[in-house]
Amino acid sequence: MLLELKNLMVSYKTREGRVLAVDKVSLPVEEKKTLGLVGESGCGKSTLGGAILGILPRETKITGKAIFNGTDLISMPSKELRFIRGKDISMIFQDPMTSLNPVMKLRDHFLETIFTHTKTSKEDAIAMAEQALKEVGISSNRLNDYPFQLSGGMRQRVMIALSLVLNPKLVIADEPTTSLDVIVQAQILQLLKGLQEKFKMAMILITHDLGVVAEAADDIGVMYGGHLVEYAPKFKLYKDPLHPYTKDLLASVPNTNIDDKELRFITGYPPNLMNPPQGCRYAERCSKAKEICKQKIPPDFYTDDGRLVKCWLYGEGEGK
Amino acid sequence: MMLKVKNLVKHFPIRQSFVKTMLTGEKKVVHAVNNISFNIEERQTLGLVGESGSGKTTTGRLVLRLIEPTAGSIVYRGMDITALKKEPLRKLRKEIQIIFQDPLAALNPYMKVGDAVRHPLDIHGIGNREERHDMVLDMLSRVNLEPASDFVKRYPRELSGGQRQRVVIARALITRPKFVVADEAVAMLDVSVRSQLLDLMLKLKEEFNLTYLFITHDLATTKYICDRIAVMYLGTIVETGSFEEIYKDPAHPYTKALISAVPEPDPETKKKKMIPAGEVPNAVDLPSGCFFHPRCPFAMDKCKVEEPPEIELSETRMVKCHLFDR
Ligand SMILES: Nc1ncnc2c1ncn2[C@@H]1O[C@H](COP(=O)(O)OP(=O)(O)O)[C@@H](O)[C@H]1O
Ligand SMILES: Nc1ncnc2c1ncn2[C@@H]1O[C@H](COP(=O)(O)OP(=O)(O)O)[C@@H](O)[C@H]1O
Ligand code: SF4
Ligand code: SF4
Ligand SMILES: [Mg+2]
Ligand SMILES: [Mg+2]
Repeated sequence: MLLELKNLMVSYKTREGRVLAVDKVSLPVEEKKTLGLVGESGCGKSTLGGAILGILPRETKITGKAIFNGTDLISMPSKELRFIRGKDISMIFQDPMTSLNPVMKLRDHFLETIFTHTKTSKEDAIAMAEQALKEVGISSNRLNDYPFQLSGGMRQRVMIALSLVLNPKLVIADEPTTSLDVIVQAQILQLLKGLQEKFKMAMILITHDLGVVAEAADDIGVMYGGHLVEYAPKFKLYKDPLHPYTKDLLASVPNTNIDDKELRFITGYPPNLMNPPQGCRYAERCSKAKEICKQKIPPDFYTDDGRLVKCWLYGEGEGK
Repeated sequence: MMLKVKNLVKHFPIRQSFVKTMLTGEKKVVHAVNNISFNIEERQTLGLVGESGSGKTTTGRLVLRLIEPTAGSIVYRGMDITALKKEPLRKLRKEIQIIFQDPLAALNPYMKVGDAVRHPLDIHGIGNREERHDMVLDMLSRVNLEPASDFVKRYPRELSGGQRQRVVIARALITRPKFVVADEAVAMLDVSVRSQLLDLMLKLKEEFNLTYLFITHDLATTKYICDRIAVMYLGTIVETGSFEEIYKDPAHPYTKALISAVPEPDPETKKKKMIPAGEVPNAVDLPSGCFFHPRCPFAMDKCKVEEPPEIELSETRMVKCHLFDR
């Protein structure tokens, strides 16, 4: 196992109070595998990624463990974490324009990343940058360009090249295709998948769209209201979703089947994490809700074949 | 007929130094829309589909008369509005409205929801104070922002993305338009919220007898809302047909690519991916022949030199591609 989250909890401090964005999440990320992390906006996906990388605001409270290659990242002093972040673990964001510096040439983005983490000669660093660009299908004479000279799809390719240039073991891609058109999205997903296999990295692919990870992921984690509500190998999850939220979310994804023109969606809105409901976070929108659901948060139940599902339909559990 | 667009062209000038113009003797332009024609029947929805840069937004803005066409004509309910000016144009604005992609950018952050939705009524001088207030409350509950009396007092930042888009829709519909251009109206929202909004748009269409021009880069969303589809590439319409025809049997290689790129929520799907390489080229120096030829897996020699004609496959179906030459 490359990374293991154990009871990870993250709460933000705001003027109005604490926001419990990630609540006791435990899950594994296997070496060379892709974990698809899925859920609606505001369910805590980016927070989870940010906690692993140690890039959340300082006053954020993080408890639990994130054990990466045997060491816990959460308790690691930020000085040491700096060596891991950007090198062993790198990040790709939704909007490359905000993570690329508009007044820096591509060349300098690469040099900065490389020099921060390694002792490399300028010559070698440039060679590394050229190679990384080649991997994502961009000609090396683009190194002198500024980010604005590239299209959205090209900028995302550059972000990918930057995240790969130091051979990370884990890449966290946070909605990398959400702002792209379908065709470019498909290109980028194919590219990511190919590079992951080639460089034998693990990846956490964050998205709100179960369609996007259907091909690229190996395992899927579904989040709702700060909880991990289901975790399963991909084929099992799509074929036989267990959690009511997973079922509803899956049903709401448009497909190209012409005979299926029914619009399915989940009514209502996700809970306010400043003041989360007492019981199951999904109870208010769930068609299967029982009495206990509104009173007690369901524990993580495990099925016989090792799937996790956080729902009272799957066990009587403790303290009934 | 609600709308008849004929041979519409829009070029944008690009900034270029005077010296360069002198030397090359040519003034370069962006060919955003290149001679397109389409009709929309009353109470129907036409889906305008294509990647970024294909000219969809420009087409929408032309139809709304927010920008001047370079050539061509736009006929709205029998009236030629291509060259409409000032007062009649102002009146027209009441009848033709737009819903933008990004609700956060479309709404003034310092304006309460109630004021934003009322704004068009103020502009067009519709109703007195009280009537306006009632109309706003009514419209907010029609877009399911309830209790409406609570939502009028909120600011955009206090709302979710889906709720903000509902506000934008309420504002667009408050003057009771007949024709609405929805420009990527659901693109920025979560998938699960997208279906919710599409459902709302369908409901409102029935309630207000609306006609939509539904602009999107995602063919999958057109399935639920569009009667007909026009596929656009680099400022030209490359295929039109009923929604069923295009979905069942896409003719143009670009349409095929758009359908195959839709991410299916099923890892066992046997769909063959046909993803063209590269991106839409810039619209300044257009490719020769068929505009799609540099990316087309079926391109023939003829495609590089000869612009394909518009070929009628059936009464309702047009494709612009040499594969269908007779
Ligand atoms: N810097 C922050 N300060 C306070 N609250 C935040 C901050 N970032 C995110 N949140 C809140 O935490 C919750 C989870 O957000 P996020 O992790 O961004 O979700 P997702 O990525 O799934 O959309 C949301 O309720 C969001 O409003
Ligand atoms: N105001 C403008 N000035 C110059 N070029 C423009 C302007 N608006 C759009 N364009 C260009 O016209 C082409 C079509 O753009 P647009 O209509 O926005 O396409 P779409 O909505 O399909 O993405 C693009 O190449 C775009 O850069
Ligand atoms: S615990 Fe209850 S409310 Fe929550 S998802 Fe399961 S059945 Fe629904
Ligand atoms: S005309 Fe030729 S290049 Fe254009 S789409 Fe048809 S086959 Fe492809
Ligand atoms: Mg996020
Ligand atoms: Mg547009």
